[in-house]
Amino acid sequence: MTSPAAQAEPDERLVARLQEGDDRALTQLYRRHARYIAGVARRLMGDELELDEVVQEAFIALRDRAHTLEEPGRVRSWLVRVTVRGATKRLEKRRRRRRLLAAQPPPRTTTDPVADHELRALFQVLEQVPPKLRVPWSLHRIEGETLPRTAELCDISLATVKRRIAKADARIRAALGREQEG
Amino acid sequence: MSVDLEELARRAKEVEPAWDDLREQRVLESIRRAPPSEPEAPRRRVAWIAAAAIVVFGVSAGGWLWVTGASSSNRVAVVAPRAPSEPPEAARSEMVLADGSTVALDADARVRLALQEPERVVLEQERGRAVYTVAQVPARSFEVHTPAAIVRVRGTVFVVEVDDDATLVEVREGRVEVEARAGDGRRSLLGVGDALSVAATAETVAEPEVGDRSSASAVGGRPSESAVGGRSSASAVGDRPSESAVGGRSSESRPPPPPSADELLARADEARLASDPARAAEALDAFLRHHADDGRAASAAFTLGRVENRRGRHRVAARAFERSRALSPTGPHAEDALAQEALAWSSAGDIERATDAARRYAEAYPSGLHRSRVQRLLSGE
Repeated sequence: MTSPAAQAEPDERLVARLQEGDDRALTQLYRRHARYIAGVARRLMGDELELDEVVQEAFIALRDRAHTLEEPGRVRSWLVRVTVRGATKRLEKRRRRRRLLAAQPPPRTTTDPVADHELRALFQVLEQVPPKLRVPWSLHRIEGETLPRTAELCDISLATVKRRIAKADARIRAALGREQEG
Repeated sequence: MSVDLEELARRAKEVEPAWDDLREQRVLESIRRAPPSEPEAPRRRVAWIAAAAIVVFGVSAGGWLWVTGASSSNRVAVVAPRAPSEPPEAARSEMVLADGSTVALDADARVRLALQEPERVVLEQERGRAVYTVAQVPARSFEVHTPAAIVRVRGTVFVVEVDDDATLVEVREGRVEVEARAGDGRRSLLGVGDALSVAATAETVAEPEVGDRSSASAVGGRPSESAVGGRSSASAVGDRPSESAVGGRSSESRPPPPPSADELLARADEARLASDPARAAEALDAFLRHHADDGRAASAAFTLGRVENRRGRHRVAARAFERSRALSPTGPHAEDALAQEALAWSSAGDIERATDAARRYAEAYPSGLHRSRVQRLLSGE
């Protein structure tokens, strides 16, 4: 559990300690941000199949690349960026694999059933949307990131991010509409 | 009908993972244990792409390319670990053919693509175990040649295991015809759940260990003279059957193919959401029977253990946890599974097994998350 002292110590200070090699600072940062990062990864990926790995990779990156953080006070933002990259890579890998394996249906997990039928349908539809559209859409529409921030997280221009979100909007609406009619 | 996508996206924001203290701690331990990450080397990526291009070309061209299951080798067509949770030693390689059929090779398997034409695909399996998932392509025959047998399929999933003395064929979906190379070239038609061991000599023996319910039909009259006991009863076939015999008579007595892995997991999810553990357990159990090779099997077994515990079936739960760990000894559930197994045996009143599992836990995870509970078991509290 997080101690009150750890809660009080700002991220900036913890990152500085981590940069000096203090492993306890990593634990404190992890306790503070892991749940949030797991939530972002869960919604980006649509399931929990590789959730632990994505979270793990983000914090290993923090441990190993803490010295590269230009704004230590924005460590959560930095972690989100790493998470977005990790999740995107895994989504692309899944998609490639599905194409190679003659378009098998998307994987399901036994550990994270979503009770809401409409939401379940949304995540199933998102499985069919290419990651380059899906990830910006999820960041903007679900996570509520601004368009400039979404562009920054996805390493693409603002114009591209707008175009991709609009494209994803259209595809998702059409697919959900078909599902409702079916 | 219009979709209120914005409203749906807002609700999606509320979806949270099952992130509890235990999971948080487990991931933290993994981070602590992880070796320093290396910066991505562009050269390695280029090398990988080049290797993949070569082998994919080799496979799609239908050349005489040997593919082995040893995952350290880059001679495979497409290298894809089955699941992130599987240990490296259990990792398989996968061949993907031009028609979408796949062959998952165990580390000891040796398979080569001998012929790949629109109307015929022939693979030669020299040794080891491989799982074939064959795409349904009308008017294309798909054959696996082993030293002891020729296996012909339409669209199906089956396992071929070759050793020095025999070839074992086990059918998971659809049906296959197996022709013995030795003797008079007898043919057997196998259905879902059937397994057949074809000796390199003239003997054909039904495999009693595999195959749980259905039986292959005898085609062409003569029953197997060497079928042995057990539930599986694939029978040898006397004469070479016509295509209509293969496709027709045999399917009447055979049960329908099992539901897909995704369908069963969906059923389990729905049942759990509906607080119906009996139905959830049934779906998970079916998943494990029919899709034991699926990358999610360890997770499904773990979930089954939890469901059975809730039903008060602690002995069954303990078995499920045991299976989860056996399926993925170093996976994310392994530690929890062993602790849960000990606790489930204890709840079932089997102190001997509980103590044994607790002892193994204490040895494997001396500073594990469940050490205090396990310690209490060991001290008889």
